Amino acid sequence: MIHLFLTSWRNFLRNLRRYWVLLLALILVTAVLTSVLAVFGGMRTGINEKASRYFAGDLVVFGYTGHNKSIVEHPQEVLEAVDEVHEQGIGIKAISKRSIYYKAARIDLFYAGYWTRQRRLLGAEWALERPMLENLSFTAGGVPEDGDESAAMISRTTADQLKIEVGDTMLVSIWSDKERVNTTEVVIRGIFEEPSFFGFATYLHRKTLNRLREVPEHQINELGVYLEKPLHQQQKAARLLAQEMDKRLPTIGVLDREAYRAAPFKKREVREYGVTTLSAQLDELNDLLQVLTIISVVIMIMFLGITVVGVSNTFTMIVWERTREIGTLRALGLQKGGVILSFLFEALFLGIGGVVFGILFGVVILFLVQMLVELPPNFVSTLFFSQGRLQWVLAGRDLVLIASVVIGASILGSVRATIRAGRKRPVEALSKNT
Amino acid sequence: MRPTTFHLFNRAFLPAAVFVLLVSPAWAEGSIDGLFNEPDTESVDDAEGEEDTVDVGELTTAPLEVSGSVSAGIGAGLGLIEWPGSAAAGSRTAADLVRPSGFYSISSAVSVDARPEPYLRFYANVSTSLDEGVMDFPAPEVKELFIDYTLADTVFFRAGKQGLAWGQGRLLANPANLVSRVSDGVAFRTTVPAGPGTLGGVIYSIEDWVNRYAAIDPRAFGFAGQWEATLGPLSLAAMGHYHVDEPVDAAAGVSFGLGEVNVAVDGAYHIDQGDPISSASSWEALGQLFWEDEGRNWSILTEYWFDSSVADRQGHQAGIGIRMPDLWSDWRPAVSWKHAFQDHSGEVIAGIGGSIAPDLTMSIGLPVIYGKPGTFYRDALTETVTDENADEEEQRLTPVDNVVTLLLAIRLNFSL
Amino acid sequence: MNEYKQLLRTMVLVLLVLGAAAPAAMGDNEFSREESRRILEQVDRLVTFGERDFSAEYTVSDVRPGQGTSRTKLTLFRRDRADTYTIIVMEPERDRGKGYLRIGDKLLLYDPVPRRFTSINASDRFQSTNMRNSDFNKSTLSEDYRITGHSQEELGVYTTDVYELEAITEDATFPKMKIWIDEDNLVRKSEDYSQSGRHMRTIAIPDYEKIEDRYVPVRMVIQDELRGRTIDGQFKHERTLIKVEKPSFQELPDMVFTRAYIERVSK
Repeated sequence: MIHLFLTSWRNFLRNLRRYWVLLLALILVTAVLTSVLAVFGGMRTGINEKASRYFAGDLVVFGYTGHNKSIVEHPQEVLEAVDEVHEQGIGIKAISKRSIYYKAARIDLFYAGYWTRQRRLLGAEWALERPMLENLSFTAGGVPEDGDESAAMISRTTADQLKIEVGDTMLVSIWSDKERVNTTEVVIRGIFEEPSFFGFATYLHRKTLNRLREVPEHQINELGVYLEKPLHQQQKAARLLAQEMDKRLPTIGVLDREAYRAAPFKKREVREYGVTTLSAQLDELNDLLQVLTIISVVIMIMFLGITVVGVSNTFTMIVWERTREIGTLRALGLQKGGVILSFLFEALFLGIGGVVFGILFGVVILFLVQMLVELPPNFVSTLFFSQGRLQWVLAGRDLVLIASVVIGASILGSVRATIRAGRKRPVEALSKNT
Repeated sequence: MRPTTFHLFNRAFLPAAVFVLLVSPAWAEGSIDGLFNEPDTESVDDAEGEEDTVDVGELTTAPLEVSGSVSAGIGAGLGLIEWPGSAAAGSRTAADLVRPSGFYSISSAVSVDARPEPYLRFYANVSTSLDEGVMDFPAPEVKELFIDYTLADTVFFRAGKQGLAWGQGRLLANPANLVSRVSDGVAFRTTVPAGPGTLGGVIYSIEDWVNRYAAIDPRAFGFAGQWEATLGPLSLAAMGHYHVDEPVDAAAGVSFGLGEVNVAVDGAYHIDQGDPISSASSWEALGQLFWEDEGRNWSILTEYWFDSSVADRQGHQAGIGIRMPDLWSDWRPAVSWKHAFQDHSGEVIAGIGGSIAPDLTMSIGLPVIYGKPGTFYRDALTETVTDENADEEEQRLTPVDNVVTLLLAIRLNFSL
Repeated sequence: MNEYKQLLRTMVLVLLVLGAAAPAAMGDNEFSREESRRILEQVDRLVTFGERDFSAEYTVSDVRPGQGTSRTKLTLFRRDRADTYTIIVMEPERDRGKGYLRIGDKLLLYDPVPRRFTSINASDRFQSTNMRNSDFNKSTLSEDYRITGHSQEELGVYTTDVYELEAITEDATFPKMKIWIDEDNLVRKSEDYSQSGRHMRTIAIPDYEKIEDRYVPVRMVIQDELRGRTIDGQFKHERTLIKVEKPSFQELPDMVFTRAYIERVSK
């Protein structure tokens, strides 16, 4: 067997000139697969990390009357319900009470003549959300002191644009809820690395934001719950919370994506409360990722089909060209199975060669793109890239997947031709004029 | 109300002040209150002075202007005539399927534009380009030649060879463009303000019709009319086209803004006048969504087009075009994808281009065509070659268009 | 595509100039609520040339310290009663021949290269520029503001009445304003403040031109109080300089407000 393996290896090397086009194709396919999977992996990891902080928690409670804005007028009742959920075995990491300002073109930040815009202002209570906010990767400063109403946290991109540092005073200008310009000064206490869709958000103290918005200081727009096991318990926890809230308040249950979109605009006689999960809020992004995944799968299948057919054709040609060689081997006593195995080994080497060089090539491409291509900040580049640069994650299972797909395709493609090679009779094979 | 002592001074001072304003650091940098250290020289009663107003006519008057342009380009392409491994490629390897190509072009155009009076304009554009077959420049062709006349600042006429486009389609097709052939012939066009919109009429003729009927025969002419108006948020248009030998065309379009997205819908109906038994009448509809970010960096255009003349109601097509921001300098990538559901053929084009030196631009494109030969997006097999590598000699038809091509072109554009 | 932003910004400014003309006749230092309203009503009346056509040439220079200056020149034809205007771009050279036609909510952009009109949503576009949306609206000072304070101040060669205004409706963009009125009852300067009292913007109008019984501001400086750069240890504000030439209420032919006219003007 080992002998056969070595012979096949020698044959493979000797026939390399026949294989090179196919090998190049396999390298290309592997490089493309590697790049696609790595880029999608990077996107997914990045987005999930950032989302929960941005959306106030894994579960969020809204209160609507039909005027678009959510207000949680009965936080005490909601908190009691959260306690009940906790009693029923759902691990809860932290609670958030947030004020939200979301008018993309109406948020201006100024410092020393420099100016930039934000997508969202998040009014948080430092003390409540400290455990979660501390997970932000700070490049300077950190989460402000409990109760520090003059403090703000901004992303590093924002800080770079404003040329501002921790300790400096920044001016925030918005169109308040009364549709007029209002401003406030805040001191930068933390600068965090969140260069994405979620990075165009500035954290203020909830009371400060409410004053800026000209709404009651204690108003809460969203009450969020961070779970210990968000991925496993999110749906169950949402259901339980809705049930518990229903015992205390007018409730509209767990809002899925559609309901979450429609809820703010439906006219209601009293304020009604609903719970939504992070994944429902993230649905649009999830959809996008799903589309990307489908595209990547389609690309993969397409490439795979091309590879299998290509390998099959090439092997047919190779087997045909090497008929006399097969005849000689058979005449020297090599069995039918041995011939088949010998060609299958060659296909294996071809696959392995393609995988090794292809992954290397793919990684080099990824590195080069990451190093050389810098996109200006815009919606897509900030959502999917890190500081305008490609970010990619190549998980072990991705490598295994790529290797098995490419090697599998190579072997699968060679099967028909190798079986045909095995069937050749020595005498006939030797008499073939090539 | 105000003393006029500055009047004469003002007339003389004004041009100088204009210059000072635009360059003076005092305006650009000095203190705001410092701007009031000199009294106002402008707020004077102009009633007795000569009226200095924008001359509406002047904007449409200009001395004779002759301009020319020359453009030369070279390019190379490397493409595959079939996908390696596909049934059409058979046993041919990738190397067999590669088809290199090269091209070059030189063209030149001269235009003359004269606007002697506000109501009169003459414009002509002639151009010629290298004929590679004979390696010579054919006699210049008149691309445009027309005279404009505006009657009483209200009715506009344009007569001559001219380009004209109606309808809103940009990517797949433009069914409401009932006047697409105007540029092939000579036309007389007029527009008149009508109610809340504008009414336009075109009478034109093309070579084919003139060959069929006498040049003065009304049957040698096509007639088209259009009314367009903007009512509140809606832009509306209705148009029609008539020629004696063709179906009567009627079309209408509407467009409006929906948030940041511009929505446009066009419909066209072609009523066959010939044989009443066979229902040759057909209709087309085009829906379009267009979004652009505020800086016009990103733009996304999607279109859906239905053509009832395709059998079995299969004539659906969809397309999307995306333009991305400049990657560096003025290099801007763009990608478009068009797909015909009727035969599942399509075309994906990715490209990027920009300047590499003054007057010199480079573009790189990667067009991919898919679908069986002879489908909507793919030409039929026409080129016959003998494949010498095959087992037995066989005649093989190879496609004229590549399934994928990497194109690189450099172009010099110069105009004065 | 910065030129495009620049162009839009310029257009906004041009329209802004029309909305900042002169108030007239002031009383004494004391103002009852009614007097305050009467004065501001007069301002509103004077700044609206509603029933007349307006045309002028504008040169707008954006001065961004440390970042350069850009200049745009254009011709404007405006007819408020029909809610329409036409703008023809004269400079910079690369945009020459471009035209804008606004009809109601629609803004059509004509690009002379493909000879094609593109429809863009006017309200959205203008919101996304740096200017305030309210700059477009007709002056409604008397409805939106009341006078809360008055003093006298020397402003260069002018002795001015300074009025402090406070918004009385939620429609006013700036909750607080200060205006300087000279002896001839023309607004020479105004300052816009946020609700919390932050000085956001200053507008200076050193020169007016009188046409018939109205005054048209022909030179303006708009200073952004929050944006700028420190150069050589000194803070320099971003400024926009506007020069208006050939302002006129001459009657314009209807043709000017049609697509065909823009096509005719363009090459």
